[in-house]
Amino acid sequence: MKNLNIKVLGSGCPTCQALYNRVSKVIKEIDPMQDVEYITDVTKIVELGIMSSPVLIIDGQVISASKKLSEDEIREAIQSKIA
Amino acid sequence: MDIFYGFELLANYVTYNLLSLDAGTQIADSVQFFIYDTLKILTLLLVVTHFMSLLRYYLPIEKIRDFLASHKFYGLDYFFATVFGAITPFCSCSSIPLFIGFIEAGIPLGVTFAFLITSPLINEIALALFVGMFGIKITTIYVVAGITIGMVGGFIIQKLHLEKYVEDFVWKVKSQDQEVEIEGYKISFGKVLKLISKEAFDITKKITPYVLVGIAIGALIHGFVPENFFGHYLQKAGWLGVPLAVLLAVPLYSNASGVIPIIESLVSKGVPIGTALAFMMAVVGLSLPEALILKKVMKWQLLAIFFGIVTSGIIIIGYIFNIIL
Repeated sequence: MKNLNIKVLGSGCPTCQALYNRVSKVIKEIDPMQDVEYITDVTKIVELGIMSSPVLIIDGQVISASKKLSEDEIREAIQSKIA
Repeated sequence: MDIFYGFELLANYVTYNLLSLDAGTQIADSVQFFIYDTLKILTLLLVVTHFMSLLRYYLPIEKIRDFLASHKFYGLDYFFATVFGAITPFCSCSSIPLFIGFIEAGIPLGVTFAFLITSPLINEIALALFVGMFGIKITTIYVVAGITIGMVGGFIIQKLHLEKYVEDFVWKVKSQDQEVEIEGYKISFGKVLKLISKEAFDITKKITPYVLVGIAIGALIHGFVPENFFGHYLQKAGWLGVPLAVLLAVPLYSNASGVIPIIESLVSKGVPIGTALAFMMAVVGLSLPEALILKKVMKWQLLAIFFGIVTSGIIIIGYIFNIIL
């Protein structure tokens, strides 16, 4: 299976942590070998030109900003990248 | 006719007919008040969150930043910053990237603070609750007060030249120039409405428990506490009433949505409206967790000046309203 580059960027707030946990959980179901990177350095978010957290990035593409996506939404985003 | 007349009829029907409570008793008063307020507030919350989510969808924070950074308004930028602050939902998760992002884009420190001060003071949840509890007139006054505190506070911070109290790393952040494309931004209007509606229902659902507890406490006060009970005690506090209310409000931050319904009942039992408004503004505008988060990007001197200005602003507004209303 194709290896994805999945990152969750956050300021360490509860919403960001929750998104990271959800993404990790969904990924485990799809591909247990797949890593999820959790970045709490806020300057990284600003460098992307975004000003709200958390941010979900898959293969360099910003999937969502300032949203706690549901597990289904995360699954859908990942599936569309694999396909 | 009151647009909420239907809810009143429904509340009356449930209280007096279905539950067969005797009109005029304390328990009936409380129950009727609870049902009526719950219906009214939840409806308002849904309407306001729908409207604000729509506004936000077409005016994301990145666009606001670019607008503020690319125009020179000779003072009007403070006004725009506070208005944008008012329509942007405040989330402590985002206050740091927001602060750095504004500074990085070259927006003056004072204008950035005008935004930061107003953003929590005026938010969709407070607006919906305010319209429901106090009516349009008081809500308008509240909004004008929030914008004024933001503009004046931002202006003072700018004039004090406090840039040296911003952490050094903030000035060094450099964002990429190209526009970020967030997936799903180009979709049909129908789908946008669906997204927005989902967001609005999510927000409302999340705060409903707090609001219900708040309304329940408010309903008990409404039914059981004697008229002018608080007025009697607050008279003893005299001029200290407003600053005391502000101090009391600081630790209540996390339950802002539950606090507003209680305030309405306090006002109906004799708390002066200016004191109540000051309390309300302090609940949403001054929070310790927020201060701790902002500490990452600014030195304590700036943080102290920021909080000092907002606190004084709220106290002054409280006094003014107690005098004129």
